[in-house]
Amino acid sequence: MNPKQILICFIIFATLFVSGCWDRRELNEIGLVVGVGIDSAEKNNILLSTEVVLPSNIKTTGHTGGGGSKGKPYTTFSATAETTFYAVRKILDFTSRKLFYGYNSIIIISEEASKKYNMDELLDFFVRDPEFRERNWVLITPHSAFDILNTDHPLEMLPSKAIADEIKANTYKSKTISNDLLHVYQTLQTRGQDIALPVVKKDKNNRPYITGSAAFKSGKFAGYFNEIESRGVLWVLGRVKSGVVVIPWQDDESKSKISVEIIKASSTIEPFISNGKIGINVTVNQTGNIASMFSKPDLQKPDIIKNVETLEEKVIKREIEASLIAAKRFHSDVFGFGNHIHYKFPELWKSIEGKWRDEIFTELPVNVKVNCRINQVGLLLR
Amino acid sequence: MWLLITTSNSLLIPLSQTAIAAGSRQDSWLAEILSLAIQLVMLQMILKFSLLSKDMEFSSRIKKICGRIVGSIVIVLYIWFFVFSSAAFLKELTSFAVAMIYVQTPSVVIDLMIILTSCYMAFHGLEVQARTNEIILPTIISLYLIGLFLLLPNVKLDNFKPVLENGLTPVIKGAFISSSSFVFTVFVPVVLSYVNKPEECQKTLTIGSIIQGFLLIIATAIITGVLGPNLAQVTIYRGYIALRYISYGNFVEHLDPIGFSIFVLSKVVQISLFIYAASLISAQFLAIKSYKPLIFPTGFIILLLSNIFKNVSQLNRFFITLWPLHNFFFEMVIPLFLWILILFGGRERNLE
Repeated sequence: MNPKQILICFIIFATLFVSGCWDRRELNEIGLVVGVGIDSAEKNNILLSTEVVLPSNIKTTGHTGGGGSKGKPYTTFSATAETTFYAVRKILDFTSRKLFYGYNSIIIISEEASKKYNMDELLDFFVRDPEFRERNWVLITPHSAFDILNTDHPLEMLPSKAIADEIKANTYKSKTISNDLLHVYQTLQTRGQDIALPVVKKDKNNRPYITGSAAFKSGKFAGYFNEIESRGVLWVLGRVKSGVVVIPWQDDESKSKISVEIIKASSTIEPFISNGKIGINVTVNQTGNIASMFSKPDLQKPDIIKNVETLEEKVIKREIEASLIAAKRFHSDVFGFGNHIHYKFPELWKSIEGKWRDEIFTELPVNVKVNCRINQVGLLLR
Repeated sequence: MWLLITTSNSLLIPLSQTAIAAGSRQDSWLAEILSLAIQLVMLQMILKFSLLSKDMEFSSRIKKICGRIVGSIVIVLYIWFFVFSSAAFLKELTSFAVAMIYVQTPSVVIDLMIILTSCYMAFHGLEVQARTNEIILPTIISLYLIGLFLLLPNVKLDNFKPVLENGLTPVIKGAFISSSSFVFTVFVPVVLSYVNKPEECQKTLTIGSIIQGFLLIIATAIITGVLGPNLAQVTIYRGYIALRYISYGNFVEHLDPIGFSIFVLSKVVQISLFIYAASLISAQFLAIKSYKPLIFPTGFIILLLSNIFKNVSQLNRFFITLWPLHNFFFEMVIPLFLWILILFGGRERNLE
């Protein structure tokens, strides 16, 4: 054999090794998982449910007139096991196909499970496994997570997709504290901040909807924020993207309300020490437009806009204070005040770290200052 | 070979942000700046030494400096370095591929694919490797910059606070460990006699290492900013995790193949250059005319040697504990030893 022939033999031999990966899976051999739910079961077990797409039942466009809906485009499987990963594998008892989690978009955890387990323990598998992506939304539900994965949404075919989209749509009203897997896990690793997660419930018609958020203390469930308190937290975190602030123009009871659309909001958190005690200054800056008015003050008068601004500052300050009271009740530092103290006074932080949540945070004086600006009044002057 | 700059530069492409792993936490980027300074000093030293006798083959030069017996020991140590480093690189690459993408593929198959490719490249010599690099290097750098650029909006400045929380010690430790991955200072003297314009090396290599230093500083800063110091420290493939996090409007997302291809391309180039260096020195040492018959045996030894790492966590511990010391022995101790011999041994005249 001359060198050329040897080379050719070598190339043929090499093709054996470049044929692709061992665990290649064709699209029609896998089940696409779009949502995962975790409930707690008896005897320290976990009930893990997965929502799997049924491709044959997804109605294609153009079939609008024809009857013959084949049923739901998804199905749910669940299994009980000691650990998350074992449950994931146990589900294979019921499925003919191997499940693929790369397109998973939400992880729902029931309140019960989050009381029993630390979030760090529950989410470890989802961060450790290479198949799950860091953009998964993590949610809490007071119902069972299995039920939420089985709710129907009128607009979307898959409930998981509907819930994921609802979280995204929530940026337009900023009424829940949404966090993806990366941020949840990141926050769980830091001592000076607690996580808050959006809450999903089902209404009378068995439709999923998102309301408020759940507060955690060191990774364990602590309590619920309602929508106003949730936005209070978001103001402090500077994460309000958009939304509506309703301002009572004359008094709280009358119906003459002005609504302001939030255009931009930001915040600064500044810890300070006075008389040997630590405190926090929170400044929130907000820019908004007047969107609708039930009473009709003349907006051309210079004082009127200023009046609206001061009234709005009061409303926002009330929301923030409500959230502070709730968070102190839960001993849950969702604002990350601990982190800010760590950034500014590292030495002091080391000494108070151990008793931060239970002693210092609950008594922490917080000065809230809100600056509002109204730039636009829409197309009407009065 | 005027293309040395590309060859050596691809040895430099930063992949693992070792300063983060070494525990410098939010100050890792400071550690990387310090590490760049250390690297530049090391580079100047090694270039001074190598340019002293640029026309002589590596092994005969060593023998001339140290004498027969000590010279042989030094040469064998050099061969060990290249073989062992390639084995570590190979294991790093394979365990990454198996952990992230080819979960059920036996790792020996991936090992074989990489080793065969690298051997093939090494078989054709330095010029082919250099020219391949002219294509690969710009690809890697542009992919790298694209990835970092897309990550910018996710950076949170709070993640860098508080600066110098635990004093300077972790920063210096991080800089030490990070600069030890600057392995090409060992590679340069070996191939310098095959370069056609060795005088230009000084300039090009300095520029090259400054570029790589900046890339590493930026990458470390951005990864710390995105993942936060805590998460960045506990994840193994931090850059890859950060790349996966990129998402723009459901359109630009799932960019992990970029991270994977950067990793594979640069590691394959590294391994092939080291195989080349190892077999070249062996051939000179054993007085064989051509280095080519030695390439495949070297590759096979590397393949076997890579199995001394039992699992991923052992490998990771190795990279921040033993590996820096091992590298510093070859990057600092041996060149210093040779230099001292040249200065005081009175053998300088023989070299000129």
